[in-house]
Amino acid sequence: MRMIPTTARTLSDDMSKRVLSLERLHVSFFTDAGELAVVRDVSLSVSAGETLALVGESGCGKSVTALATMGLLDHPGRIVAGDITLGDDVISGFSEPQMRKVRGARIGMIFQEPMTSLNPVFTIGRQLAEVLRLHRGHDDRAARLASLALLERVRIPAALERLRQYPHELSGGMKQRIMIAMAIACEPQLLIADEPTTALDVTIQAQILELLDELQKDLGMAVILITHNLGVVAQYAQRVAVMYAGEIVEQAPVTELFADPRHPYTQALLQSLPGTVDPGRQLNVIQGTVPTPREFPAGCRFATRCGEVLSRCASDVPPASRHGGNHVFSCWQRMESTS
Amino acid sequence: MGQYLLRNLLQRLVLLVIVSFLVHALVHLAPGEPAEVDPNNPRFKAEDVAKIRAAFHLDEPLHVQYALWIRDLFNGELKSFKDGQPVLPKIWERFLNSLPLFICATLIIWTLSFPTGIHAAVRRGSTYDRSTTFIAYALISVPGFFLSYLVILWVVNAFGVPVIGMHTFGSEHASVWFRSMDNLWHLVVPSLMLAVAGVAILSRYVRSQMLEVIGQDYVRTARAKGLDADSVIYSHALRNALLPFVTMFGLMLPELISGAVIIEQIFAWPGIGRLSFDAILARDYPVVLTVTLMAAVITLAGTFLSDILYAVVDPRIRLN
Amino acid sequence: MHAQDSSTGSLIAHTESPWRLFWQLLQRDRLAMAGLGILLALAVVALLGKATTEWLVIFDPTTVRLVDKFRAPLSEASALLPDADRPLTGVYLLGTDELGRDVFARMLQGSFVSMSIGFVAVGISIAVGVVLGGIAGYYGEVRIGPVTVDTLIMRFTDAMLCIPIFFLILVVVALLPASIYNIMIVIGLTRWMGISRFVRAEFLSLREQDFVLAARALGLPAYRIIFWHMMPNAMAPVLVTATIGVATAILTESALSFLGFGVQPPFATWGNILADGKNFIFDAPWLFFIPGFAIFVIVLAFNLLGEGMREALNPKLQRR
Repeated sequence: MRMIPTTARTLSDDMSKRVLSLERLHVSFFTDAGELAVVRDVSLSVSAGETLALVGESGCGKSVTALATMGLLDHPGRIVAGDITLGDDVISGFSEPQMRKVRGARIGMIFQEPMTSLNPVFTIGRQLAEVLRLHRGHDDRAARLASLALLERVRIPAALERLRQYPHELSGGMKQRIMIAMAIACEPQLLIADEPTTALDVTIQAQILELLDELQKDLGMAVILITHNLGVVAQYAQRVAVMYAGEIVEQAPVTELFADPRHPYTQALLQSLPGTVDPGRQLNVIQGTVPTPREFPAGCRFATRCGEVLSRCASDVPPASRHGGNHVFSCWQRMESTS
Repeated sequence: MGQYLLRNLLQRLVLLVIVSFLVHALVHLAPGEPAEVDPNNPRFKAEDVAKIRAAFHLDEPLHVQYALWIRDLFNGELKSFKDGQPVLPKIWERFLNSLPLFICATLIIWTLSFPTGIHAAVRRGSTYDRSTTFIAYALISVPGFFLSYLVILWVVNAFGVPVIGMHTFGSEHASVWFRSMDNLWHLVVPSLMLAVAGVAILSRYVRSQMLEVIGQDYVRTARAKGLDADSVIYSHALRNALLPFVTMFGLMLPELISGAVIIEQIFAWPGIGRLSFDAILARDYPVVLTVTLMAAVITLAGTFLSDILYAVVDPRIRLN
Repeated sequence: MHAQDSSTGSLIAHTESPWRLFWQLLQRDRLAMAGLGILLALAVVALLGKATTEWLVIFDPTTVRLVDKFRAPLSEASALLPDADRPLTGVYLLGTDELGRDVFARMLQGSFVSMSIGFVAVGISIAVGVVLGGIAGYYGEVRIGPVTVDTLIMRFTDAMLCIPIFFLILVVVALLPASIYNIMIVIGLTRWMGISRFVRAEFLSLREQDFVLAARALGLPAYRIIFWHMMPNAMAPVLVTATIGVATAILTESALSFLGFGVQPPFATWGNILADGKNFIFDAPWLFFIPGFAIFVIVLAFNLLGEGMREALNPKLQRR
């Protein structure tokens, strides 16, 4: 039994406006152990109204890519090559003051841990109002009114009371809704959601994802949804980019990826889902573990675990190859079998 | 919150009682008798020794001595072994002398440590950070009196700053203006020396606390909102980083008192440190015990105050 | 953790114990490594010092040479001295003091004494602190009469912390007969409180962890769980505190010497050499500056090493 995605929306790149575009992005961490090429040659794009899922195991560089987009990379990380384009602006070249105008206003970001992402000593109202005051120049009253509206929009009851409360008085789900409210307060063009539901209870997860979906429709935002949960991908995304060890190994519309995965890693991932084997049989696993940045091979980074590895895989980086209109992947072995 | 504070207060009172037991037992169990202080004094005859022992109840069992001490303490009738004068007024007077020293030192410590520590944390790894780190370590590592002597040598030669006592000899008859300025001038070097170790230690704590807070998720959220560096550091981060320091305030008080013993010796400051030292030399139990108890009271009061402040400032506690 | 593939050759099998990781991280801190180097050098000097001044007397710290008193460093020994009294190289490497004793020899002798005071005192405080903290952490819930073990131990610890530490040390040391062992013991018995709090806190959190639960499920006896399984995990903050504690003990000893209560002659410690030297700052400044500087360097080395260890052991402050 294979996963069948349930969204029916399809948008082609040409028709909608491209909101974000990462072109050949390279991010390295400069540690005492030398330069670690944590993210290598990542290219992806999202259009307005579209959700791109960025999938991969923990530590594969998804968050680093997101932070790099926001310009929030901490020392010792740095973008060493590549461009980031938001709308018509190449924001990778922006100065810090310019980026500050982008953050929170044109790009909103929500993080994985709602329990610790809100400042414990400030009220909800103050933290919400801060964004509005900063980017929209609201005064106290206007900010308060707008905050109330935002809380209602993210379906938080008793909004008036909430403004006066502190983060520790709220549940995880509510805190995440507040984070979402803060992120969309200025109606950004792009929302980056870095594993927004991983730390929440399963029942709350669905609610949050539904909320994000709804907000996206209302605001026409582009959304990058970072997750390691393929089920979520199937249900909420239109396009998927699969990341492994800092590289995008495959990118395709969701239906196509599930129906016709090309890269060995993607195939192995889909194979490892519980639905693929009969009850009572052992689940499929991918042998080995993800290499640490110091152990990255020079060529294809999946080479150490790939069942179909060729001799050139470890030393040469496979180029991107197209499979149909919107489907790209990088693999030496598979490349040979497509024309 | 009222309940929390009440429980807190009661706990501290219990601690105080325990401290008084401990100190009393400690001092009395150590060998060495006040009546043996001056065996070479020809005026010290055996009967006198016996009289002193009787007068100060030294032949009673330990717990009786303790009870008598406490009783006399609260009566205000506790008398020094050395000169028979009441203990409390003496201690109070000396304490008032030391108070400007403590206040000044505390001010110096707290106003210098925070900017240094915060700046070092924000610019982690920079030259500023590394040099202040090194200076902090150096200051902690220098023997206190060694540094004091060095400073004395330097400032007396270079600036003519007074380093002996609280005021210039004979200035009692001068004008109010002169006396105040004179007192202040005398205060500078001793309080600075008293503050040195505190500044070094506290600025390191500030730095590490700020570093920890800066690494927190909510700081990342603040940045993701587009806030500028100053707002992020001084508004979001600092508010959280400051919380533990409210409690630290009370904990630093004992160290000030300890430090005062040495500093007052060096600078001939007629304060509580010198009084204690002389009392220890003379085995003057009542004074020693009372000063120690007083130090404990100050510490407990200080930490109690800190706890109140903490409860006020941290919403997580205030609303529980 | 292995990653292997025959077609790409074998890749590294990484097994990194926490100790190796700690050592690697520590090595990157150059200041800490400098501190470690200095300390190892000092250990060698201390041992050599003891050997050459007491067992096989090459440098004699006790010979009084009144004819050669107050000689500056690197000055020649007087021709009037009998041969037995001449220093080894005919030159006073670090000068002589007010009794004509060779400062170099005294410093050598003092190095061993100062170091041993530091280590023994810290050893005592670790022993007491770990035992009390461990009991409070592991058996905290057990009730003795109306209170729990945890409350008992923690109240005692808190009470001790209310009293200014140095003050307490001074009181006790002044009342006891002056001996080097008393000083070591007193310093040790007044500095265990920090360690016991750390250990208790670590034990409280470790107790809930799965590996302890697993050990109990396997039926391991309590003492084995405590000492074999839990203790090594709790030692990290103890090590840091101990390293810095040796530095503090050396400083305390020098402060005690300054006040006249340190180790008595003829034993030399750097502390009492410094304290004696303060009387001759103008006449023979080397008597003051040399021991002071030496203490400074050693204490600094311990502090740098201790802080380096703290950073290396702290997961929160680590970079990737």
